[in-house]
Amino acid sequence: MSETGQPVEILLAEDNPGDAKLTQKAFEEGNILNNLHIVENGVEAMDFLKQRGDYEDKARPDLVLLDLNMPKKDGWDVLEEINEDPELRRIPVIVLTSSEAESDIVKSYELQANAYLSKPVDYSGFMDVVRSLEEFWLSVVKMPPK
Amino acid sequence: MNSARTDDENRVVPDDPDLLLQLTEYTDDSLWMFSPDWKEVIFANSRYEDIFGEPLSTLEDDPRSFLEAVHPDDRDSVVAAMEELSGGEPADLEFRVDPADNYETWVWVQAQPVYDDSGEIAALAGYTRDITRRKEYQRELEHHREALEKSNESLREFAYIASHDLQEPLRMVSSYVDLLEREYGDQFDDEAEEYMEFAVNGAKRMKRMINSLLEYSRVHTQAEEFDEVDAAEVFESARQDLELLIADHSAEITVGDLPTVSADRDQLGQVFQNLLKNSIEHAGEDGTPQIDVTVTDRPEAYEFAVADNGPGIPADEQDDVFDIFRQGANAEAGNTGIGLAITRRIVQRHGGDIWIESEPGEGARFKFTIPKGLNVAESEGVDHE
Repeated sequence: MSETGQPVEILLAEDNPGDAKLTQKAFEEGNILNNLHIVENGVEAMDFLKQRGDYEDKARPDLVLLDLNMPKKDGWDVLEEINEDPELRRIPVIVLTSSEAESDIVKSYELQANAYLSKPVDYSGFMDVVRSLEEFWLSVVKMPPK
Repeated sequence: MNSARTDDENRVVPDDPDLLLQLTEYTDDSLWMFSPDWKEVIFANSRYEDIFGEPLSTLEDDPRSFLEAVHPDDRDSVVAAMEELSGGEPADLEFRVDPADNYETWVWVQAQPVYDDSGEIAALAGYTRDITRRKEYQRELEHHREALEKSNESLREFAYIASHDLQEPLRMVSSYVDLLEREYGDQFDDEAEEYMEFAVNGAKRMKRMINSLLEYSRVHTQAEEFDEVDAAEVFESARQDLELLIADHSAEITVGDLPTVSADRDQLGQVFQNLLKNSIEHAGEDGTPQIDVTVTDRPEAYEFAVADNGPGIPADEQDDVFDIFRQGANAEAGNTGIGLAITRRIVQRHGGDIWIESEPGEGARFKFTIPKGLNVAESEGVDHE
């Protein structure tokens, strides 16, 4: 994707505006051209993914960063719904959360999350995550066609 | 004058048998002897009534009437023990008696068969002791233990919640103070620059302390059940993990034969690693660290020792060494000094003790015990925080 010069479409589902902004800034400082879309809860996340409601004209994301604890609909439900949709299922989902509970980690992987990351402790941690994401997911890995 | 003689079984026996009888009154226990079929009382001192709450006469009418003085729930096991005793099996049991007192008296009975010269059982003899007070103490002890367990449980919960829930606000403060400096740093005058530095340093220390607390609470949140663990193997693993540190200080480490213990493997590894690291760093301050690790086989536990040739630790500082924020606010980057607090918590969790033997100028010996034969998932030591 980045090879063709098109920006990578990334959906961030995060209810904490402080965390959302940190992620946004980290992507702005990153090396890969990207459009970061931010939604605040699971309902908006699904609307965005299904390109309906307020998000009819939005592009389908190439990558989803998902917080588990969101109001209205949490990350678990979003994961399940993504999994049930044959088209959405192809989109890599990375769970980004503060929970360390092993049960949460297992559950995420059982629900077909592609990766589970603990939220970084500070801004440089966010930059590290973005850097890793860029290196692994966005450059090296072959993404499924849209 | 009363005279006595030594009989052929090397006992000293008074000539006057009444003296012997008197002796049987100088005890709070009920001493008794029954015929092998329990139908006749051969001997009973006068304590029977004190303990069972019924006069001795009832026993003479019907020796087995004492069963009525026994708590209904305990009668079956008493009858079983009586039958076994008739068959030659010694008895040792505890049960409740005294209907007048609502069966609140606990007694302990030990009894044996008495054989005659031809090897037949001639009598059944024993004593019955009132152990009500001992039972009460046990109950109190159990209550205290439960209360302590609850208190420890809530302390652990607190440590976990405090450290875990504090991560998010900490992240906000750390990250945005950092961003402020990055993006607006060049707009700050000297005063603002100084304010920022205080804020940044405060946030850094807060982060270290909260992470330390989190690590500390993990002793319980990530605890594993005890298993048979080869301490030698675990030690080698810990030594390998510290390769770089050992090389940096040219530390010499010797270790004796370490046994197999009942422990949480990861946590035992942490103990070795923390103690080694601590010793290397302190002994390394002014010389080449020499660390010797040994174990002493004590009856109830293995006593490990990690000895170093460092400056030693004065007696009045030895307890503080294990405090959670020993190095407090002035900790250098990455070092809040929590390693030893975690070590102590782990040792306590295993039911052991940890202490220091040291004089200034004579190095330090860190000693800890791991009890033998642990088969419970958690052994609690008292937490003096």
